[in-house]
Amino acid sequence: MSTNSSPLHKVIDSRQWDAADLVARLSIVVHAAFIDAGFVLAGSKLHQPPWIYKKVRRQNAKGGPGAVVRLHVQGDLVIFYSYLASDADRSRVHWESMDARAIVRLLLSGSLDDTALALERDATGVRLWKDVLADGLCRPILHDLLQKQPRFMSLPDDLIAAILARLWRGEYLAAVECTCNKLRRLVADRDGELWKQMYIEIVECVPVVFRIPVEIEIGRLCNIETFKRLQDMAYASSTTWKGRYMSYSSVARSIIESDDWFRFRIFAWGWGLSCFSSWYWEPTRAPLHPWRNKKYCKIDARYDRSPIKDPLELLSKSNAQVSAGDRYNNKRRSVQCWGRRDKGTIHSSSSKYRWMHR
Amino acid sequence: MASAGSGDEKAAAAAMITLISSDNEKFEVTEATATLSQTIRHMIEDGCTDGGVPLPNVTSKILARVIEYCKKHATAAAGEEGSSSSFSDAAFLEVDRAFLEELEEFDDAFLEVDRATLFDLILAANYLDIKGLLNLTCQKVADSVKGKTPEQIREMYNIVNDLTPEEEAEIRRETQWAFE
Repeated sequence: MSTNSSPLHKVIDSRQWDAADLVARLSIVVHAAFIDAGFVLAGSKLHQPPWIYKKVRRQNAKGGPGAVVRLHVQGDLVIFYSYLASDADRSRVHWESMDARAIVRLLLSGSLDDTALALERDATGVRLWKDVLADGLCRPILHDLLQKQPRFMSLPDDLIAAILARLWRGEYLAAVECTCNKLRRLVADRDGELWKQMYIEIVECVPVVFRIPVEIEIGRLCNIETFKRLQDMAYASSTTWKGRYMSYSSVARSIIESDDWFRFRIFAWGWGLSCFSSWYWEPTRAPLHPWRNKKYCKIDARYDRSPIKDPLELLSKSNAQVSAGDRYNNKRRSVQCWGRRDKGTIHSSSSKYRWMHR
Repeated sequence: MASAGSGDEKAAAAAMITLISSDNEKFEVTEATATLSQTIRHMIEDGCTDGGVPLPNVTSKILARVIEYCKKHATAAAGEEGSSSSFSDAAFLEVDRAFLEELEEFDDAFLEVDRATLFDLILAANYLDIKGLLNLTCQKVADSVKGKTPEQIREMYNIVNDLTPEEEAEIRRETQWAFE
């Protein structure tokens, strides 16, 4: 702590310090300690104790619960104490005491630079700054504030792992891993669960529509026989699933990024196969009518946003109409009215199902 | 016989269970709603629900939200089961689709809560073993993490950075690929 950049210099200049009396100087030192610990003064003034501090948050400096800080002189002792503003019963008060005469000597001994230096090096200064203020008040009250706030880290490990298992890209999991030691250990310990899942998703669970062209194209570009070879390489490259994931994704990315024409071919393959699949495979559910779909309603004001008042009315009507013979026709009409059905498509009863289910 | 059977079923469906929150507030719910929780289902099967089911890990505020979720999903499940046995035509699909849409909208609105409530819901869903709710809430938290830098994640979830500068530099080197 060089004197000019000391926490004390950040809250006051020499002229103000020289003009301040003992009580004002003590309150400035307390204030500097809380500012240094990441708090801001909120809802009170420096010359009017008790002081209420809040934890600095980037998005909303005024949000969150506050901490109250008070001073009390009893005999030869100055007692510093703090508690949460929300804790009306003061069930959890952090306090420290220090000899008043030592504080007087420290604060009235000289200029701002001398005091800042003494807080860093002098035994009394270190006791006041570090033991009483930083470790005795700021740190415990900060801990209490964090406990009061919603904490991701207070969830059990299994639940944190359950949340992380729902991240669908390795980049997101890597970012979480970089935040703190506990999450780093947790992800490393569950490598076979979290990173293995990522690896499987990127390698084996790619939809057939995309995997076929990628297999063919990567097979060509890498001059290797099959896409399987690449998987084997990635698998053998590391003993951890994270290493395998990184190895696989970096090779795949370098191939894809190296060639625009390759990317275009992948796109064309994917588009072609998706058209083919939508023509060939019947989906299991009927599509959403426009007036059911919020997006359509937003785009086109002609569609009524209000839901059908009685869904069962529709059901009972159609049920009454549908005789044994008509039922089949209704079903077939509903299938025909949507999807990529162009002229010439065969609408036989069996075309609703894939060949193995006919 | 059939009518007597259906009467018994209705009586069973209408049976009420009392849930008692950690702050001693009592909630009356139908058995169909309560059995969405596997924990309570096992208690019902074991006949341990006389005099109410104490839930010491769940506050009344959170329990009310959980019950709201269970009621909606129990109704939807009952609707699907009831209709799927009798119809399989387009009209049913349409109604079914409407159910799902409505349920999806309900879930979206249900998750519009602050983070503290969201974490409490996760803990409650885990304790009560409600898979749907647990999946929904965990996914919400996972979605909030996507695309964020480590610093943003720390800021968002009050994670204290206890990595030394050397460790941080090493991790950054290891995971450089993720932030390119």
